[in-house]
Order: sequence, then structure tokens, then C-alpha cells
Amino acid sequence: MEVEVKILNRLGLHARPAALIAQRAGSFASEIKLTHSNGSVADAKSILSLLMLGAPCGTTLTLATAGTDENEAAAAICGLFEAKFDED
Amino acid sequence: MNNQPETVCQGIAASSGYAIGRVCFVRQNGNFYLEPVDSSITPEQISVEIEAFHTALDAARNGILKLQEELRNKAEAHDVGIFDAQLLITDDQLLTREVEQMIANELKPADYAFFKVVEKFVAAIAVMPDNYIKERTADIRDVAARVLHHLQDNSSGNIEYDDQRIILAHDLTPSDTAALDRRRVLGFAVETGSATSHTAILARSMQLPAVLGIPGDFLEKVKDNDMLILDGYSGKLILHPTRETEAEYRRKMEATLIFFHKLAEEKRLSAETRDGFVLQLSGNIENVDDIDTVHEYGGCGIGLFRSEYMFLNSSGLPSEEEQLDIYCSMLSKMKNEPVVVRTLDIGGDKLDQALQRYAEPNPFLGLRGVRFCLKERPDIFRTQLRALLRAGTYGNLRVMLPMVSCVEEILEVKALISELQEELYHEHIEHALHLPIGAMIETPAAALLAAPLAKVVDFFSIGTNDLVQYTLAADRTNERVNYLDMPTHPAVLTLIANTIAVARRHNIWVSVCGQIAGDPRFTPLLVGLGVHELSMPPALIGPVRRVIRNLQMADAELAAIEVLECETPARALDISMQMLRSAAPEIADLVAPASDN
Repeated sequence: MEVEVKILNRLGLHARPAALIAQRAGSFASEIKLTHSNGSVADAKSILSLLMLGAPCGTTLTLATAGTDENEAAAAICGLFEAKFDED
Repeated sequence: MNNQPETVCQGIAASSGYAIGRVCFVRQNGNFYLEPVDSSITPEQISVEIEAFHTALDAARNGILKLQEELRNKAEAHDVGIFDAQLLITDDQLLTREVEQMIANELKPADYAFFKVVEKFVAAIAVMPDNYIKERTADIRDVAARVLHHLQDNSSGNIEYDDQRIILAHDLTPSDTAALDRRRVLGFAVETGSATSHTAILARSMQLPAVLGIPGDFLEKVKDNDMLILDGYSGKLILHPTRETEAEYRRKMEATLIFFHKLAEEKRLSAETRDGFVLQLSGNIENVDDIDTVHEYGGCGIGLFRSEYMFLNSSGLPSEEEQLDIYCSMLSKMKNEPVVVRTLDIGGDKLDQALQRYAEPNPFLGLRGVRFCLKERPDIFRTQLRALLRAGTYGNLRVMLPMVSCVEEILEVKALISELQEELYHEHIEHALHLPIGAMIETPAAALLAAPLAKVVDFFSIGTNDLVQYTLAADRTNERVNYLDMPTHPAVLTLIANTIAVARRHNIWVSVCGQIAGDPRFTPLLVGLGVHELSMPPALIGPVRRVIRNLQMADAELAAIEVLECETPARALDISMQMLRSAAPEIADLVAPASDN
């Protein structure tokens, strides 16, 4: 499934949020991808891949999950974005 | 190991002495992050390398977990979270996959493959527009350094860190150098710098043999634990020396040691020419303990105390009381012999982020020395001058200002000193009523302004290292222009001669405290030019004293006149060298062995 998520925390997708996403994504069996509007795609289970998106505050990303637990995975990752990664 | 061919490399002799021993490669910032050697493996080794890679990842992960555990009690939960990110990097599937592929498909060893993949990520992240994300590359490199450390530790066997080593590095900052443990370090060689960079200066004062300006391709050939001979007299490095070469160097080492012992026995003799002219020989030091070595070699004063190392080595700024303590203990150790304290000289290649608010594109031409003290941090300067004024009542203290380029700078400092004296008077704190103030002559401007400067200061001290770099417009930390590091360049000699002549005419003291002061090749020349004092790393006092005791002032003066008429640096050096050879051939052999030329 696919949903749009927006980065709301002030510092953007830096190490800590990327770590949170990768950690949470790693707990699901589904394949989880985040796509930047500029076309670059990140494997949400790889922190390096997420960091390479270089997404600052305000960026909208497309979250795509595919697999047996894709709905739970999408909900969990969306939750992180909405909570601003507990940062601000 | 033993059948590798002997390889010789020529660098720049930065600090004299020999070192024979095994190599310890120091990576940037003291960690182990440096591009590993690019080599190939056989298909049979693939599984071994992949296995080694995973073992190293596990070891790094355990290391981070342990650190995190230690921090958990001390730090904010938020900060500990940084390590979560680091842990994820060790678990990162994308990274692991790419490294495994590179090992298997390109037949690269694990350390090299890992380094290349990490650098690819770092390069991609470093171009991001967001600075905050960009800074994460430091985290990635931090993790990578841990993993590499484990990988390379395994590949090079067990390294005994408690034995003595020759340190090799691409670069050592002056503070890295100062932090080297003299008992465990035999000497060091680095790629950057020249004979007059601060790293070299420190090496000399620490009596550590050092060679700078090593070509990068030579460094790549060297591995941890390799056998190396470092010749700090000629600037040579010999990798995998044959048994004969090693034996020859051991003989040389022994002979030099005996010679220096003999020189040390002369320490009570005065530095007097055969026709009765006496020079003051003193030591350049950066901490109080160095005074013992000055005495050991028979120095009669401190010609340069580099006070910036008090600042660079402490976590906070040293307070007035702390500084007072340091100055007083120096003065009491020196009895009534003169102690020249150079005020804080920050700038150039001695950068300090805590003290300097701005990074300058061209720090050697920036706000350094007295400029920095007057313009940027008058608060630090006031504290230092107050401490010096108070210490002035405890002994023969003199204050020297670095990087002077105008008369006004001296006047401004003198006004500040009067103000502080007034302040101390009202606070009923004992202080010196007259503190001799000297100008360092290290810019061409100061040398040309010697006459007006002589009217407002009590002494000159010629800092030849900077004087050469500024006169010849050649950055002394840039190895590409270090061929211009020519103290006998006619332009430089004219400035030095002018400064000394003016000082003598105005009856003020003039010393030389740059590198040439401790280099016997220049001793006949400096004596002939009429300098009052030579200040140098303590260990060099012996050879210089021996040269002076064998010189005739009358001859030296004539030679100096001849030198000033030379049109090339080489010719000028030649004349001084000839005098050295006829006065003290044993010293001439030491600084320029006949076989090397």
C-alpha cells in the first residue's frame, strides 16, 4: 500500500529519526520504501539509505509497503512521522 | 616479511636523531580511519574475508553497546540515542550487501571493500544541502573507524602497543604531537609540513627524531609493524632495512650518543669565541618541566617560552592565578637567569577552535599573534599580562610580543600594561613596575621598521621561521613550496642583518629564536652578524656551544660581510658551512655527513 508522509520535525530526517524508522521498519516482514519527490528511493530498513534521502523539514515522501504485514508497517511508520519522531 | 626489499625515501629532516624500530600507523584524529591498501584476494579467500567482515561488524557493535551502557548512567537519554544510529549502521543490510558483493565480485579484501562502500555513502550524504544531515557523516565514519580497527587488527596480527614505535601519519597537528608519549615513541614521520612548521618545532623540543614531507606513495607502502629506520639528520626513511643497513645505523646511533655525552660534559663552559666574545645560549620551551633539560645542556636562560601551549593543552582558559603559578615556578627554577615569555601566539598552523571565533581562509596572514590578542580576545590578553606583571617581581622576566607589524601595536600593548599596573596598584597586588617588552621580528615590516621599533622596546627576538615564510611568500606548512624555506636567501639575510645592526646601534638586546639558531650550519653566520643571544631547543645547545668556542669573532665578522654580498642562498650557506667545517669538523659531519652530499 502507499501513503504520503510529511517530515514535520525541525531538523528533518537526520540520524536519530532515520534510526527510529530503520529500527521500526526492521521489525516488519514487508518490504518498506520511502520515495522522495526528486525520485530517489530509500530502503526504510537501511539507515544509510534513509540518510541519503537528505530530506529536510517540510519534505513530503511516499511510503510504500508490500508484504504480509504491509498495513501494520505503514501505520507504524506513519505514526513516527506524525509524532515528529518525538523531537520537537 | 624479511624478504621485502629495502626501500629508501627522502623527506625533510625536521628533528635530529635516529630511530630504529617498528611502525605504528596513526590514523586521522587518533582513530584508525585511513584508506586501506588496495590489493586483491583469490576466489578461495572470499568466504574468509566475508567472515572477517562480519566478525569485525560484531566486534564494533559490541564496542558501541558497551560504550552506550557506560554512557547510559551519565548522559541524557537523547545523547545515548546517537549510538542507536551507530548500531544501526553496523546492522545496515544495504551496507553489508554491498560490501559482500565487492569482496565476492571484485575480489577485494574486506577492509578495502568496507572502506570504499562507506566512502560512497559518505560522499552521497556529504553533498546534501542540509548541514545537519551532512554532519552525520561523522557518525558513519566513527562507526567505520571501529569496524576497520577490528579488521586491521586481525590482519596484522597482535600489535604490542606497549613497546616502542615509530609513528607514521599523514598529518599530526601540533597538539597531536604534544600528546605523543615520549617513552613509547621513538620518532615520527608525516606527509605534511616543513622543517619550520610547528609540528617540527615541537618534535625538536621534545627531542624526538622526525622527518616531514614524506611522499604519499611511500606512506602507502608502509604497514603497521614494518621495520623502519628514521634518520632525522638527513631526512631519510628506510623501510625493511637489510641487516647491514640496520647494523650501520646502530653504529651511527651509538657514536652520536657518545658524542652528545661528550658535548654535555662541556655544559659548564661559556659560549665564548676564541677571541673572547660571549654569547648567551638559551632554550626554547613550552612547559615548565623542559627547564630541567635546559639546565642539563647548560643553557643560561629561557629565550622563548611558548605560552600558547598552556592554552592549547588545557580544557578551559588558564586563569590569572594558574598562569602566575606557572610563570613563578619557571622563574624560581631559573634563579636569576632571564626568562622570555612570548604572549599567546594563536593563528597560522596553531589553530584552536575554542579560542578563535572565525575560521580564516588564510590564517598565516590573518589575525594571529599580538593582532589576535589586541583585536579579538583582549580579555585573554589582559589576564595574561596581569599574570606576567605579578610574576615580574619573582625573577628576571621579559615579555615578548609575537607577529608585530606596526609600531602602534607596541604602543597599544604598553598603554594596556600601564592601565593594568594602575589596576593592580589599586587592588594592592604586588607587581613589576618595569616589565621589559620585546618585539619579535618575524614580519618583513618589523625588520624594516627596526629603527622606530628599537625606540619603544627593550629587546628584539628574530623569529626566522616566520620571517622566511613572510619574506619569500611561501607557506611553511605547504610541502609544495618548502624548497623556498631558505634562511640564507639574500632578502632574508638583509632583513636579519638590518635588525641586528639597528639593535646594536640603539643598544638593545637582540636574539635569534628561530630554527636557524639551533642549526650549527648557521652559527658562524649569526655570530658574525653580531647577535647577542641564540635560543634553541635545549638539546642543540651543546653542538652550537662547541662551534662558538672554536670560532674567531674576527673571522666570523669577515665571513658575514662576504655572506651579505652573496646573490644566492646556496652560496651564502656555503660560506657559513665552510667556516663551520674549519672550526668544528666533527659538528659539520653531524649536520651534513660527507657521504650525503
